Amino acid sequence: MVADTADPTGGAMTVERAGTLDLIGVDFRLELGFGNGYRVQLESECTVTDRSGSTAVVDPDRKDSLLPVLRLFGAELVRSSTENGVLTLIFDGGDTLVAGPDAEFESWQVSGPKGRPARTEPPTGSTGTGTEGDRG
Amino acid sequence: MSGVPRQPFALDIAGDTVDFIGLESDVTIRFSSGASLRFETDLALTGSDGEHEFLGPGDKPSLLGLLALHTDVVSDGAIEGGRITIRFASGALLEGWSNRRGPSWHYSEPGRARVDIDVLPDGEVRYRYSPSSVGVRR
Repeated sequence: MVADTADPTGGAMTVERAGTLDLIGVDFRLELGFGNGYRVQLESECTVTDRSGSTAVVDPDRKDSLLPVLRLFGAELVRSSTENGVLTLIFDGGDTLVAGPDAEFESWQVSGPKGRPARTEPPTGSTGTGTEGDRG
Repeated sequence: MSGVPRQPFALDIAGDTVDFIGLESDVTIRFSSGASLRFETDLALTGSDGEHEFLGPGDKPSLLGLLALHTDVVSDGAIEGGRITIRFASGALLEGWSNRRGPSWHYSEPGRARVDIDVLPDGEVRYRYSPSSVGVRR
């Protein structure tokens, strides 16, 4: 079951138990799809920290950097939160993915079966929520 | 309409780029013309550096090298029996073959006449043709 909360002012949003990572889509972006219809699109660098505390930078533009994300396939997304332009995904087992704002690009976008989509946009890194029709 | 075309069957994707690679329980590669190739079982990739490796759709870390094909340009591709080969301008070579345990790969292209090809257990290759869904291609 997906539980989400959204701040109508465009601030913090939290999604819990969004299912397992069952789609990794690679083009100029990196798309992560979860069992419950939750979707994350990443367009800029992010960091993945594994359960041992080792951190790696993942850049959708550099395909050879995507190994840490491939290793997350099948992991359950325990919690997704967005606040102050930062997206944090926490997986079972303790792996985390953190994506901050980017000076040039829309860094990340999330959408799901419930609630409004959210994205962070340059140059302020502000987090915004779209309309129901924006849902991917 | 169905039937086995003259072999080898040339894929109508020369000049296409790899637009998208999707990893689910299987692996899907989409080309700029709208053609797509989906692997359910092992495939082989020879990289532009000449390194040859076998990749399993169920072993996601093994697929890292495949992601390098994004934006690569297809030089040519062909099907002969249950084997599909696609060569890229970078020098990379992608290969798939039949599998005794189940369907192994599926190819679809929306060209002059749409063709969908499925490779089934024991090496049977099933071709299905239908009028093009796109009308004009490139």
